[in-house]
Amino acid sequence: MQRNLKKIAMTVNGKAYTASVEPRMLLSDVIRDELGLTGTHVGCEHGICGACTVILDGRPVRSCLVFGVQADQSDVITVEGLADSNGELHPLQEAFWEKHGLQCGFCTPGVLMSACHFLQQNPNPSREEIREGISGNLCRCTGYQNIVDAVELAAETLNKNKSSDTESAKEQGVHSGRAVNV
Amino acid sequence: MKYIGKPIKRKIDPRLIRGDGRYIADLNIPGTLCAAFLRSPHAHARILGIDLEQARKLPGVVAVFGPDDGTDFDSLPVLFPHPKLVPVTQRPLDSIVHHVGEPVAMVVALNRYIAEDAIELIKVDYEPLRAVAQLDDAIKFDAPLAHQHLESNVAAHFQQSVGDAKAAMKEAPVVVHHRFKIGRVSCLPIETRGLLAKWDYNGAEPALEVFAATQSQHEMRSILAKLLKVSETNVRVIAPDVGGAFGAKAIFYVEDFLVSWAARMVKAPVRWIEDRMEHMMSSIHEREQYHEASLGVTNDGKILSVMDKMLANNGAYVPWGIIVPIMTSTLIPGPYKVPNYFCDATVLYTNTVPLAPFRGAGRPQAALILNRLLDQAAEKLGIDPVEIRRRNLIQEDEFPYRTGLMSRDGKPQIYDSGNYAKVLSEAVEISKYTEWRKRQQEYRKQGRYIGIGVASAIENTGFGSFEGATVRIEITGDITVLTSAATQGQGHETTFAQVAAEVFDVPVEKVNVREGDTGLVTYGTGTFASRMGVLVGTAIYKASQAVKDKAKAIAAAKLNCALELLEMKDGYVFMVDEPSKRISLGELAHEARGLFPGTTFPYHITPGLEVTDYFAPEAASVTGMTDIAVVEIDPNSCAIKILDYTSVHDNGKLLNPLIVKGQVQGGISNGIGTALYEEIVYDRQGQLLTSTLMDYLVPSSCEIPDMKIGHVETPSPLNPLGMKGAGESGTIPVPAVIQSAVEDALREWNIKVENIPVKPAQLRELLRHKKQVTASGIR
Repeated sequence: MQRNLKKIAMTVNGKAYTASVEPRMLLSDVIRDELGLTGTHVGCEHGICGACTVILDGRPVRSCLVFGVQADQSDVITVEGLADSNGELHPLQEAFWEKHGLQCGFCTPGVLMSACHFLQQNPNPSREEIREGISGNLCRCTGYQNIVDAVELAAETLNKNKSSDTESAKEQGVHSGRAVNV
Repeated sequence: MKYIGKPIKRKIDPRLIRGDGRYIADLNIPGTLCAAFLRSPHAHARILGIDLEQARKLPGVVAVFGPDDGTDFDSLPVLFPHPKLVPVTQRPLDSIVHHVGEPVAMVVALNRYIAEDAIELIKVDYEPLRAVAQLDDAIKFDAPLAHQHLESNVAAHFQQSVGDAKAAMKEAPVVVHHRFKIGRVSCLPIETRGLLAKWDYNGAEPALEVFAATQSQHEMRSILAKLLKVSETNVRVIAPDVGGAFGAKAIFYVEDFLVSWAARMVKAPVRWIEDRMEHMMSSIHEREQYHEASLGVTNDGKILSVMDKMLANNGAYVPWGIIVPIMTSTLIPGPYKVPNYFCDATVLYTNTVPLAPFRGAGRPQAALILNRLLDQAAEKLGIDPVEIRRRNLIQEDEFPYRTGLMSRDGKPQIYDSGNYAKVLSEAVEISKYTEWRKRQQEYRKQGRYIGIGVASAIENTGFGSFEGATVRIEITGDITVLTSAATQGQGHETTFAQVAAEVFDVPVEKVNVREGDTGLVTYGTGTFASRMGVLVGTAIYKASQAVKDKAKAIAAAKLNCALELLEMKDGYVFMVDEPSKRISLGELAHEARGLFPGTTFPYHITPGLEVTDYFAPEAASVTGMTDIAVVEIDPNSCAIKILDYTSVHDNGKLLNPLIVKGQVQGGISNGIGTALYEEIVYDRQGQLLTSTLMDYLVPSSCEIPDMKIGHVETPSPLNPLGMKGAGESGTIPVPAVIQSAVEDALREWNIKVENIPVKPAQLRELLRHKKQVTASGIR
């Protein structure tokens, strides 16, 4: 049954992985089935719903539209990489909890990854810009309003943290311990 | 109240936001094989021959099953039978297919890639039969038959009547008409359907364990047991984390049977995860109905008579009977006083995916009819649309209100409680309706087309027959709550914990709620019809009270005092006069288990601090809502933008306002999808034209506006906490309010907007036609 397998190596959430996969295997399936990281969800497999969004070399991608072999030698961040090494929630995750930004939770990992990248690009967004920024992720439960509220709150927290980080970094030099730097 | 009614953050969230949810596709059971289905490309065809051999030879394929394997399979049971219904239910692997997407063959393989490769290798010789898909065609005298053994496509023909609608309509000084063409939509949870079935042969009899993305594990257990001819005792159905459902996962499908059956055949666990295209062509649809309706009113706008003729598409089968059109037909009067009412409903079979309840379940259609007729009457009489509604609403002092109709359960339809006028007034206030009306005129002078829509509706929630709960105090002092419900995002683990926390007066963190497993509570029905808060909430409330009484009885014996002198708080039972005399709940739980074998149980209670109770409500508790929407239409492109949206709900006593508000917002967004974007389209031969999310438009964050949500609380007298359902009511008034607003925006063209979804292309067509007629001078 071992047909035409290719060896790939990736860094996922700061950790090195190797896997032998068929060239046709989707990145979403590699992440879920080969690496066992099931936080990345598959909702449509044709690139519309956004549930499978991960950060690939610094950019959000729908992992159902990328082959695993295309991600060879890449850096991938999934929802499991959002919390820090001590398990402390990322401010975005905290904000989704605080603002009731999820119901069934199935689209949530993809929304979090899109929003995470969006806030890196635009740390002070308007509500309209947030709506635009997460429009590639379908949610059937929330009606999006609480998601927008959550991203707004996360932006505030991150900006606050950033200014206090700069202060404390000046004093002692800190390391965030997160796979993702926002 | 200390916990009930508080906007407590959800207990489940930390797990889900870390990516630690366990949905069907995430379960890791060693040796699990994957299933895939070959589905019919024809809407109606006979299978003359099928070649499975090439597929069977593919390395990695474990088994391939086709129609020959299914000759002795039973058809799915008829749920919700009705005296007027000619029921046809689906038979797994039948040799005649009745809609595009029906399973024809099944492959079980080592992984899904191989299973799908094998599907490609199956050759089928079909004899296409004439198919019918659309309502206009299906009703025709010489229409192709959706099922060859039937005499016509009519699945059911029934009527509802109050008073003498025909006579009253004749007498009415003002009569208006409206037609409605309501499209078909998909429930579309972001997690598709899925199932993992595993047989265990280590016991006295083979036992089946099924993990399923289901809303109704108990229903699934009973149907699986029946079809697989095993005892229910040997079937356990578990719903792990479920990624949304909205009705799609309340149904029992042939795949549910086939995966469980195949797991027995191959003697290994088998999992099937539906893909999105399969979802579009095999998971239930809803909404599709045509109506021709008339309203007769007095000169001051009081309703005299409502008459409606309904055609409802039910697709190829009736998995949930004709619940949807029945619901529509009994709820057209809604929150309004309708002395004379008549509805004639014809439900048709077509060669399309079956229709069964999607969030709202026939009620959004019902809310359209009379609200839009009232718009026409208001226009004709020169009355404000809000005012004509106010004049016709059932008043606060008229409850309990008998509509004169029979309810779904065959009993007279009675609305238990409500204050519809207050709900309407709050909506008018929150939306700044009066200001918008002024602004509408100013905008009009600037060449902008703004429309304001208003709709009031009701939902009959908290249906029977019953749900249950077991409540237990653990020796750690923690409270365990087991329920017959299943959750797909509703936050039961939090709201139900709040109910128990209230009774025991312990923090919500001390209460652990578990559900979605037939192994936890013997009987149950399922999470649908906005019933869990009312039914399970009440069952937990009752069971908790009983456990509390038992705990106090033990404490009274231990402290040697009268029961009345005791209270329970923060994990202790204590004497009110002397709070230092106290016993912890954990200790009481320990006492309730007896000392050690051979001793006599010392207390006058049944052993164990545990009680199971069920709640069977005497009738549905009825919610009320009013929505007001402001839309703007670009007169050139006819693009529709929602400028403002307000929704005021009476969901009775709220368990958790944060969660109820979330339910309402989500419901509205589903309603906006139905009203403006989503439509499953079949061509006349039954080919599905919208099988991907490229063709089927699910609203994104850019289409759904911020919404202003208000609540009015009228407690229901039908349960001790005064609760009403909240899961679906958000969805119900939306199509009516949007259609109303769009027509209002284009008032000067005097067009009638009759379609749902309302699409820019239709509006452009209507406007073009109107301009041509005007230009030609014909009026």
